[in-house]
Amino acid sequence: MIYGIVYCVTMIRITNTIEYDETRRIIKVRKEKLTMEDTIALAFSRILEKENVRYAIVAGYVSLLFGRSRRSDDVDFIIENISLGKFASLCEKLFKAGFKFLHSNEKTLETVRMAYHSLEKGDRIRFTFGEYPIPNVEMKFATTRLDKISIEESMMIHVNEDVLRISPLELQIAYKLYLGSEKDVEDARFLYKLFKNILDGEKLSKWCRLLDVNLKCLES
Amino acid sequence: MVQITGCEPEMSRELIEELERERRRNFIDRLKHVDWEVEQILKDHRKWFEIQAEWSKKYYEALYRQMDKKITGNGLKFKLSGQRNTMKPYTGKWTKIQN
Repeated sequence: MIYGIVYCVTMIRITNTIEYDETRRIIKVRKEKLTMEDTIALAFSRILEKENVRYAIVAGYVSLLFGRSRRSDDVDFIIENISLGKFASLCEKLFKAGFKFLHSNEKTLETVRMAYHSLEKGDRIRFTFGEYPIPNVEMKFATTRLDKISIEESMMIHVNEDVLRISPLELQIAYKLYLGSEKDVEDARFLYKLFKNILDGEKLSKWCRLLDVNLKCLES
Repeated sequence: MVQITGCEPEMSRELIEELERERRRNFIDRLKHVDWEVEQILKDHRKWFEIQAEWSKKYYEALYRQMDKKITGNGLKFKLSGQRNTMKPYTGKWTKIQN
């Protein structure tokens, strides 16, 4: 006798290119043309996925991915703390795929070691893709509790055939409100209005309470 | 012509109030623009993505053209990513070599 698990998949259509798989909490996006930020984010996450490095994309790119009409100089990746050996292997794959350190043209073990020490200290490092420095990838190790939660509870986004993982939308909205600049509040409002039907209200309220922010400016 | 007269602390308070009102109004306008964006996206996201990709392409093409101009404009041949400086060391005969 064969036993199997039957998933009841509930798909919610958000727009004519975005669907939400409620059961597995996956957002599926179909994009016929990619932006520069998409290209670099997908190329980077493809390697992280292959290398089994856990990560989450946070900040501006999360709203850009879904169509917010502004540019960003970088795509912010938070990755789990990995060993120097694993980081060196990751860098090797990144270099092969066309990424370079922004602040050094060298691809030696010494430069990789220096980059690793920066990450260990809590600093961020940047990778460029191709010939120009913008947009680039800004990467840091998960240092704060929110960084770790962003990775642990990350949402999977299917962009065409690729996979991206982003920090949970509820946390992103509350965090953007906490940052409080006009640009951040606009991003929060964009995500809130677009995904209103699929956001977990309880989680959103919890994050707003914890970060001491008010949802009022998103609803008015 | 606008005259700024009166006692200074009072004047300063009024000017700041005016600026704050203006900033507030500008911010509300921007939030309304975000609402408009979401409205358009909900109508036809496919088209919106297409326009966004086209706009992104043009933006970066213009930016890179400008970067190339700035980078090569001072006579040094740089590539901005990393610290690659492809300028040959000065030997005193550089003009001749170039020719």
